[in-house]
Parts: sequence; C-alpha cells; structure tokens
Amino acid sequence: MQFIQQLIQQLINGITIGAFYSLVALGYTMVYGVLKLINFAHGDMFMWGAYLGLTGFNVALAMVGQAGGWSILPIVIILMLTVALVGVLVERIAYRPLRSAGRLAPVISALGVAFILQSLARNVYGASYKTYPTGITPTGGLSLAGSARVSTMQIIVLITSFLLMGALYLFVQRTRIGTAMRAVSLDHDTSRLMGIDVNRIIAIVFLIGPGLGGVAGMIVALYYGSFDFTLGWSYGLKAFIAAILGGIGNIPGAMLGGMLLGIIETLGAGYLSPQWKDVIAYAILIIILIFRPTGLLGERVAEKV
Amino acid sequence: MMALLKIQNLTKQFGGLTAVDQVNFDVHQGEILGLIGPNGAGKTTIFNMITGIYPPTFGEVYFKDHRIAHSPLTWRQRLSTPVWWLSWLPISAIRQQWNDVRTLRPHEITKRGIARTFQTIRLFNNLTALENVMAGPHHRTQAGLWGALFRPPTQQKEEAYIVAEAKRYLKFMGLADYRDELAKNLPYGHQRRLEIARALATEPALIVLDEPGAGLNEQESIELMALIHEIRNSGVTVLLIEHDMKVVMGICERIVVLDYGKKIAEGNRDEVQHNPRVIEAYLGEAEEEESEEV
Amino acid sequence: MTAMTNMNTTPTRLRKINPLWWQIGLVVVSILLPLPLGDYYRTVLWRTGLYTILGLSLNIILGYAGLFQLGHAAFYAIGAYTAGLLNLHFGIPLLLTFPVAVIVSAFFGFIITRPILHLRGDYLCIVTIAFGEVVRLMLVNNLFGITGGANGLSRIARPVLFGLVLRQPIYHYYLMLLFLIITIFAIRRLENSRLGRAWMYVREDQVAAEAMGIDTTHVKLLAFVIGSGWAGLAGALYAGQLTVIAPDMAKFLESVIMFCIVVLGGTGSIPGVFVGAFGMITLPEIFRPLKDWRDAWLGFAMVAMMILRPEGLWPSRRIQMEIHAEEAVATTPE
Repeated sequence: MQFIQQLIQQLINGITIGAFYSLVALGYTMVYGVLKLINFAHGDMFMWGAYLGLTGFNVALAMVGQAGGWSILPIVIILMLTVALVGVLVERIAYRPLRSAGRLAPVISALGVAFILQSLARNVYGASYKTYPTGITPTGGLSLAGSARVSTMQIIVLITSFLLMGALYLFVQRTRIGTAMRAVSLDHDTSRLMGIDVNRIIAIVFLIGPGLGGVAGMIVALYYGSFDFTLGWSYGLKAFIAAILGGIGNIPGAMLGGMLLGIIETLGAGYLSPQWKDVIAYAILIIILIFRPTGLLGERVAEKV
Repeated sequence: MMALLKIQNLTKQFGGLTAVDQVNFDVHQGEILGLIGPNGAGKTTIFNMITGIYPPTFGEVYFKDHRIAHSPLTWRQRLSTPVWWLSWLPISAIRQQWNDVRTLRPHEITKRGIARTFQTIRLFNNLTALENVMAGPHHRTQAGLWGALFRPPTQQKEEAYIVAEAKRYLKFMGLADYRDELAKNLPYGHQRRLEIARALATEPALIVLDEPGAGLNEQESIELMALIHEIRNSGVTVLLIEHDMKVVMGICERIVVLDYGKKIAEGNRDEVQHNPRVIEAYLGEAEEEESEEV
Repeated sequence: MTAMTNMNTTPTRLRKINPLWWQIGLVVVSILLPLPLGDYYRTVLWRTGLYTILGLSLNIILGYAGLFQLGHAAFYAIGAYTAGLLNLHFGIPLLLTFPVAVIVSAFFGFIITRPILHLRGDYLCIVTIAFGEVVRLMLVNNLFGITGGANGLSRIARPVLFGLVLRQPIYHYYLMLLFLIITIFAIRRLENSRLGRAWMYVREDQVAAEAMGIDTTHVKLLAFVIGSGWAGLAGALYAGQLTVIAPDMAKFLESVIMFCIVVLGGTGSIPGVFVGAFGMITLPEIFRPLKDWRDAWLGFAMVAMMILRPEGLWPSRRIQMEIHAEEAVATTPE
C-alpha cells in the first residue's frame, strides 16, 4: 500500500514535470519541423519567460498592490507576446539569412543567440537565484488515496498545459495555417509552388513556439519558486530530449515524449538516486538516437541515392 | 561464357511498393550489357542492391560465384546459423563462409571488384580531379596513421603509386589536362567522365554505369560510346543503365528490359527492338521522355 | 555565378608548403613572445596555445572528417583526470602520465563514438552533447569514488623535467609550445596522406566515398579516436599547470568554445584555429572589464560571423570555395 501511494505520488509529480517538458519540446519540434534546425536558443527564450514573469509580478505589485488572482492574465498575455516577438526577431535576424547555408551555420548561429539571451538575462537580473513575490503561488491541494496528494499548483499546471497543447494540436490539424505548416515541414519548394508564403509560416512557427515556451517558463518558475539564468540550458536540453524521444518534428510526439521523460526521470530519481536523474535523461537520449533515431512516433525515412 | 554477375529472383519492396519484382539475369564476363526500361522501372534500385547500398527484400546477387547481396538475416536466422556464432574466430575458412552469409557493405563490394557511377553525379566537389581519382587506389593501399606521421619508405612508394595510378586513369578518360581543376568547376561532360575514371581506378572486374549518357550532347555521347568500348576492351565487364536508346543500341551486345519492376525482355538488339512488349512499354513513355527518374 | 567564374581563375593547387625560414621565424617569435610579458599575460598565452591544441584536435573531427562533435570537452576532462589520478594515486610523475592520458582519452573516444558513427549531421551533434554531459555528471557524481565529486582533484604534483620543477607560467608556456609544434607538424602530415584524403572524401560525399571502397566507419572512427586522444593530451597539460581539476572542464560551454574556435577561424584550416583561439580565449582575457558581457559578445560574434563570413576568418581555401559554391547554387535556378 505504501508502495502504491508512493508510486502514485511519483507519477503525479512526473506528469507535472512532463507537462513542462512537453510545452518546451513543442517549440523545438515545430522549429525542427519547418527548418530542420535545432533551435538552441529556445531554452533561453523559455528562461526569459520566467524573468519577464518576475518583472510582470513586481510591476503588478507596485501598481495595484497585489499580484495574485486575475492580474495574472494580462501578465501572461504580455509575456507571451514579448517572448513570441523575440522569437520572430531571432528568426528574422539570425536564421533567415542562413536558410540556404547548409546545416552547420544555423546551428552555430542558434548557439550564439542562446549566449546572447543568457548573458543579457544575467546582466539585467543578476546571477543570483530569483524568487517570485509571495502570495502568487496558490497553496493547498487535494488528497488522494492515503498520503498521495495533488497540489492546486499541479492542477493548474496540468490544466493549463493540456489546454495549450490541445489548442495547438487543433490549430495545426484543423486550420488553414496549420495545414500550411505541415506542408512547409514536408517541402519548402513544393509548398511555395502551392502558393504558401513559406516565410510567413516560419514566422508563425516562431511566434507560437517561443510563446508557449515563455508561458512554460513562467509556470516553471511559479512551480519551483526560484530559478536563475541557467534555467534555460538545463530545461532546454531536457525538453529537447523529450522532442527527440517522441520523434522530432512530430507534435503529438513532443507531448508524449515530454510526459514519458518527466515520468521516467521522476521514477528514476525516486527509486534510484536523485543525482542520477540527469544521467538517466541523457542515457535515454543516447539509446533512442542509436537504436531509433526517428523517435517513438517518427517515421523512418529512407535516404535517396 | 562464364557468368560474372548472377541476379536471381531479385526483389525489393519499399513499404507496400514493389520496385523490383523477381528479376533474373546474368552478366557475362567481358560483355556490355544494357539495362533499360521506362522511368521508375526499378533500374537504379537494382544497381543499388548490387552495390550494397540497400539489401534486397528477396533474392540474391552472385559475383564471381560468391553471394554478395541477399535479404538481411533476421535474429532468428542468425541464432540458428552456426557460422554466426563462430564469426568472430580468426579462422579463414569460417571467415569466408561468414562473408557469404552476412550483408556486405558497399565498400566491401567495391573491394571485391564492382565499381559504380551515380545517376546524379556524385564527385568530391571541392577536391581536384586528381584527388578524386586518387580515391580509387585507396582500397588496395595500406598506409594508416603511422604511415602518415612517419612517412616510411613504403608509405612514400605507396603515395607515388597512388598518384601515378590516378594520372593514368585521368589520361585514359582524356582528362589529363584538368588534373588540378576542382571537380565542380569541370564542364558537365567532363564530370561524367571523371566519375567513370574514379570508378575505373578501383580496378574493378565489373563497372556499373548509371545513365552515363544523361545530359550529354550528341558529340559527347558518341565519344562516350567509344570510351565504353575501350573500357570493355581493357578487360572490364560493363553493365549500364541507359535512357538514351541510341547509346544502348550503339554499344550493348545484350539488353535486359524492365517495366514496372519486372523483366519483360532479354536478348540482343534485334530481339529486343522487335519485342512487342518492349514497344508497348516504350510507346507510353515517348511523351514524357525528358522527365527524370528519382 | 560570379563566384564560380572567379574560382576558375584562382590557382587551384592548394596549400603550398611554406618556405622553411617562414616556419622558423614563427617558432622564434613564439619563443620570444612571452619574455617581455608579466605572469598574467604569459598564462593568457599559455591558455591560448592550449586551446589551439584543443582546436586542432577537434579540427581533425570537425574540419577534415566533417563530423559535428559538440562534446569534445569530455575528452579534455578525461585526459586531465587520467593524468591527475595516476599522479595522485600512484605517484607517477606527471610527464609520464601524458601518453597514458592520450591512450585513455582515445579509448573513451573509441567506445563512446563507435555506436553513434552511423548518425549524421545534427543528430550526431546532439548525441555528442549528451555524451559530454554524461561524462561531466559521472565526474560530479563521483562514479568510482575516486574522481573527487564536484570539487574535483587537487594537489596534483607539478611536472618535473630533468630535476626542474615547472612552476612558473613561462615553463608551462614552453611545454605547451613544444606540444603545439608537434601537433601542427603531425596534422600537416595527416592532411596530405591517404588517411587525410579519406577523411575529406567522407566529408565531401559519404555515399560516393563508400562506393569507392573506403570503409567510412573505420575512417570516421579513426578521426574521433585521434582527435579525442589529442584532446586528452591538452587535458593533461592543463592538469600540470593548474594542479587542480574539476568536472567543469567537461561542461558544454567548453565544448562550444572549442567548436567555435574551429568554425569561426575556418573549418579545416590550421591558421584558422589560431585565429579562432585568439578570438575566443585571448581577447576576452585582455578585455577583462567586459567579462560580464563576454558571453553576449561571443554570441554576437557567432551570429554575425555566420551571416557575414560563414567560411571563417582564415579559412582553408577549399572550404571557402565550398561555401560560396553553395550560395551560387542556391541563388541560381538549376
């Protein structure tokens, strides 16, 4: 009984963390889908979400005297727009000129952007750990069987991320823009011949990916309470592993991969040892890439000769 | 005449699509055999199976009476094959048997004496013509890390040999003047010939040419035909895919015709030319002559 | 198209051997260079040289064989730890641990890269990042109870040469210089050898290389093994100078710096690696006041370089042409 309760608790925690990974993984996977580029800067945009959230709450505190409740909504919207704008600018300035320059140049450029974003955050906000103002994170929770419990925060995290992911999935599957996005990810030239404005579609991808990442950054900061400028790197890489695990370029795959990684990591930390948590994540990545580079949901593509 | 290359029941399926279906034919020692067929008939797929780029789904390819291509072993077959268990032993008899059972990699097939060219030219673009052809003797030379670092006399002799060989083949293909030109700066026709020179430099018993005449003008085609004859006369058997009927009819002693992955005719020029199935297959094709095969 | 026609007129015989006096001159300059400087700048020079060695070792993998290795720092750390552990636990003089450090790093290079050789391009890049991080975490987590955890190893004995204890930075500079010269000598020989050509064939077109009878797996593996082993040597040199080593040597930032040294200077080019090391190591050290913004400048330089001069600052002529040719192809309809 003790064991089962513990297991349920671990699963709940794992799914919560998995939800973060999924949200960030979506950004990697969508960009990879349309540009075949590993956007190393994505993790740092996510980190900027956390910092902008901090600023937002501080401003709200100063202006209206409270930062909880409904004042979160405008903060989230402004933050999402800002990070999305950064994403679009980064694409326009650092990636678009390199669209035809082979595979190495965009990767370096992406690393460069990551450095810039990280260094900016460290210089603007300082290198120390930051915490959100108290009173924003909801307390309390639901008790499940025995000692296992779900906190209000976890419920909020799960509901928000599932809503966002569901909306994105419908958007990609049902709308014209979503269809165009899928077309672009298959073949730029053919899409262009079909009358799709490829640059616009790529810009939209860079609007949505970082937008979601920014929100995820704020939620992660709320969930853990404190963070520093390395947040982007550590979470970014994990989310990237999630995207690979699910099959990079595949949107449901990113969601599945995130959940799986969150759960495996939490179980590993719980039953083995917390210090091996990261090693487990990397081991998964290596094993997947060696034996099934297309991930769980990816399709095998034969190389043309 | 001895069959140098035997193709037996060769089949390749990509997902649900059968690209090559139960194809049988032999390539005899010293001949020029043409493999023709409309677009998408599976010619290049057969070439890729012969040269080990991917394994067949069913069927086999024999080269000099050794099996060089067959469907890969499943784990079950591996476990029930005694040679698989013993394959790590350094005993030559076992090694030899194991080599007939396992899937060979393209470079090993080249080493056994089959060289190829590609339909879309694949030269080492940023290396000179000479350096391109120097890739040919690679598999019959030895120098490794130590040779490179300490340059013992054997290594220096080897380097001289590689350069001499490469020059010889460049000259053979009439490219001696373009030795130091980067491959990608050569005119198209020269690139085709450079690719053949590079393949010949591996000293193959069989050279497999994938549409060597594609994109060449009349004059270049004629020169190419003469060259292919010369290659054959120098003792190398030639198997070629060709789209251009003129080239095929001009040089091939025997012709195999494929359509939709199946062999529909085999024989000499006249037999093939007057075969009703061949005419039928090619009539539908005439209108889309210029479209490229993937 | 203009780029293509221009190339026809440039002499295509690449890399003529420099006249001997030119090389001797460079050696003399690098011997005299640290003399008028203080200890701080002598250390800066030493660091620059060390990263040049690292860059050259990565250049074998990335520049010649065209394999994206973003976890190179792992082998640097493995070399340092090998030297440190042998010295601390068995009392072996540091200089004698150097060959062992090379062999151990090369061995790790072998077992780590053997399973991932079939991966291409960015997939390879990701796995190498993961392996780099795994090595770092293993060191942090004190895998065998000997690596000292997050604090690493300290009090490694300084190298002793003929009774002379190498304590001052200047000695370490000369030790490094010796190995740097050996490295350059070896790499120039490799470049123009059967093995070096095989690497370039693989970089240019792997399928064609295989069809020419080149065992691409073997050739790529050799690039990784040699490159990793030589990075291990640089690690051992580092251990000798600092006497303190920590798992941070294997962190991703280090790998990125090495990667950038090769790419920003010009992939496949030896002078390019020098330029890269100067830009990535020397400049930030000289402009210490800007240290807080160093990463931002670094990032800015990376983006700007990729857009304005993707072939690197001092490219090997070959790669330069490759990149411009790609542009030409991209802008002209086939």
